[in-house]
Amino acid sequence: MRWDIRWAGFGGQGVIRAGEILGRAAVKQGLDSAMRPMYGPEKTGGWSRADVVISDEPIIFPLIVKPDILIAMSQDGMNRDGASLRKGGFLLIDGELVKEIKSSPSKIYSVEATSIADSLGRRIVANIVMLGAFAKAFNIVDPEILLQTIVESFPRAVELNKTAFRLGMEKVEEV
Amino acid sequence: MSRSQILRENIVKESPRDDLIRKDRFPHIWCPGCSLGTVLKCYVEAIASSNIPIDKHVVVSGIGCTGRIAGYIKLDSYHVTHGRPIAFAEGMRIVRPDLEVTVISGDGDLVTIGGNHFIHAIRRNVDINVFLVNNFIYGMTGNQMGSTTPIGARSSTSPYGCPEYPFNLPLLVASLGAPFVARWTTLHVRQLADAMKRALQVKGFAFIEIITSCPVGFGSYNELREGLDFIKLFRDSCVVDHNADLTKVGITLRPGEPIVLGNFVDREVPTYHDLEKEVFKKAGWLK
Amino acid sequence: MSGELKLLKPGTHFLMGNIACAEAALIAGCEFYAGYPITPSNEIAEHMSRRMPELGRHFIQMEDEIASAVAILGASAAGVKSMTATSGPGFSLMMESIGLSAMLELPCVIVDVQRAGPSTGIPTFVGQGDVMQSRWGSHGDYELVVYAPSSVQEFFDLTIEAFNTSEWLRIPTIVLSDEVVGHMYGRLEVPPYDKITIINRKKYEGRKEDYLPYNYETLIPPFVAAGEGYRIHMTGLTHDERGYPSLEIEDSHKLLERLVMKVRKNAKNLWKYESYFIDDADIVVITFGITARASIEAVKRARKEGLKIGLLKLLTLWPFPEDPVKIASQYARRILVAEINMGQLIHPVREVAECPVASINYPVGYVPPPEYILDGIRAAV
Repeated sequence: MRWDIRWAGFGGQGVIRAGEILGRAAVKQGLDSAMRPMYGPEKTGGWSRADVVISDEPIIFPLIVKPDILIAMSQDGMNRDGASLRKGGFLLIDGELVKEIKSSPSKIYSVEATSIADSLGRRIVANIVMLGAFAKAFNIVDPEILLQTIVESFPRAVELNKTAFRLGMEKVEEV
Repeated sequence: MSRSQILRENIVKESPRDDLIRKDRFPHIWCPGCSLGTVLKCYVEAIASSNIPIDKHVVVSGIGCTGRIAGYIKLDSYHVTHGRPIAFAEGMRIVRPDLEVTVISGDGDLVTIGGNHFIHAIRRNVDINVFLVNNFIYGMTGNQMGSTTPIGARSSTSPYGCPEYPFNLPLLVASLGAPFVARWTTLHVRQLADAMKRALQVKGFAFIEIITSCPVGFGSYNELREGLDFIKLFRDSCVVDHNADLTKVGITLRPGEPIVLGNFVDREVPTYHDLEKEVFKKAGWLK
Repeated sequence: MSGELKLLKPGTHFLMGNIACAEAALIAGCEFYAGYPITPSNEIAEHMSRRMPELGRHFIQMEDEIASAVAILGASAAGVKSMTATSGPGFSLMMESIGLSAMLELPCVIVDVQRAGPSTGIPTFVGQGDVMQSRWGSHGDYELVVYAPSSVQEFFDLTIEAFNTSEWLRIPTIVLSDEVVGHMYGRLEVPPYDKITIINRKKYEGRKEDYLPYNYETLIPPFVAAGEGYRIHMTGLTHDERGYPSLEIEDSHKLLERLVMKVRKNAKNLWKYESYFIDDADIVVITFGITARASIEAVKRARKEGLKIGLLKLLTLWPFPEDPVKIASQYARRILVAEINMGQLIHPVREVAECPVASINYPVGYVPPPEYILDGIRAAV
């Protein structure tokens, strides 16, 4: 089984870091993964995208044409990448920042990742909230391994990230 | 005995510095009246008295008449591409602190095509010696003007006189923070050899501009057709002033305007290698 | 050596291609890195700037790519392994030094993370337009070895291979990667260190008086470094076996013959390639780098449609793997060359192929999706 997962947002939201952590967790779990980061020329605030492929077989073509899952962390990301989602694919959005859906998903999951991160005093962990939501919504990567990978990635902010991840898992809901 | 017989009888068969010269490469390719041989001689003297093991001396040179020095000196010697000897020397010196790396090359090579490497090596203060031979022209390639050709001087590409300002090299080098800056001519043999010896001791970028005679090249276009004409020019217009105002030492070769010589700068400046040690400390490699 | 503990650990990793390349260079024994900032190779320099000093090795950011490519030769002449990394515009500036490296027989590794060209092109987007430049970009006759990775793992493996080949043959070697392989994260298996082959240049061991830097009786002369008391001379001028400039026809012939023969004679050992479904293939796709990943997927789909399609993925581009291409062409009806350029690798393929050869080109900047390659295959059927 191969999953093509596209994260879309703007620079500074940690989209690419989230993609890297997700791929690393998948590899840790014994799956194969490839992640392609892309971003606009702006130093901050430009568009940002992470294409993560996860597969239980060695990945031949590592890039994504029509994602199975689109994770939109901003309206701009939705505007840019919404139409690329495979018909009947799945959508995970930051419900506060994404108001207008531009894809035809079979299911939409939502979590207010940015507000939750703000409530923890660090907007920068919105991507970790999103990873928690992802782990809960889709049975692709073991949440324990994902959390362990997050902890290893940020050894100086273990508790904060654990909380962000847990809140993401708790607060995500199908809409 | 005729005079030429006497000369032949007394010609030196061996020199005490033969161990530093590749005799199997002689005769050299330099023109009659060229003073690059003097530069070579001074360098050999400086090495012999440097207290640095001879096998640790390395010469790097580029393209041009001066570039050939690397081929005549019996040291580890590297004759690289046009304008690049300084970058080559930097790579070598950075990985091998035991080596005393000296770049000997011409003005066209080092400050015209190689100008960017030149200024950046000085800025970094890499511990190399750069002996720049200034003959005011591209000799080997056919006497074209360069970035040291004085205004109005003629060459094969400035038949109406050079319309560009030349570099004032001591000012340029000093302004970039080099710890040692000197200028001598090949008439000033003893001072040149002493300056070279000092340059070998200095830690950091040590620079000597060496003004040479070039009767077949620059001279033939500018009424200095014999080696002796240059020697007279140097004798008549050179002024030694170690404390000279470097903004005023640009060379014009106009009558009445001096060529200012001296050991202008001799100061301690932390080198690239000192600063790199700090990097090694912060990275945890050095205590 | 305490530094050894700080190399990337054996086991499974998930790394960016450019980082995997840098870590491979550290394992290969790279002691000197010189570079100039350029997209999309920057992560290599950034990573080296942090990692080299941790291991007591040297990183320097030079004033341009010309200086970078020359500085690594100075370090090589001093006896250490050295490398630089760049992309198209910087690669163009390095051509002069590739010739110098070949001529002085000073080993070095140059990584070119290809981007869309020509000229400034699209700095952040992929290209495969440096195939021909990597072969003969410097003036004069010389031979070198060019590797083309298509994955993070291959970028790692081929970087070590590039160091080994460079040291073995005393030539410049090039790792011709691309923006996608460079920026992509992927699975990387680092073998136990004792399973990784590391080759160091052969040092001269005879009597000092007998040493000839470019001994005519050897194909690959043993090396001595600066400062070892040999007082050698190296020059970019055509030289004799002592290293002295020479205008003699005999010296010129012997020098050039050696410079090319050390690669040509070993070509069969240098060719690296992988074949897929080749045995009964009517049509064979020949490709490399990131395009190979799309092409293999396309060939698998074509097989599902019942089409007899095979594929050759070239890991060595130069010396060009003539035999496998020739043999494939003797059994196939047609060869298709897939690459992200307007047709470069197709030329050496045409030179050796015994069947018709056509291109599947894709405009630079983008990776062709498997469907695009498949359309090309279907059209050829």
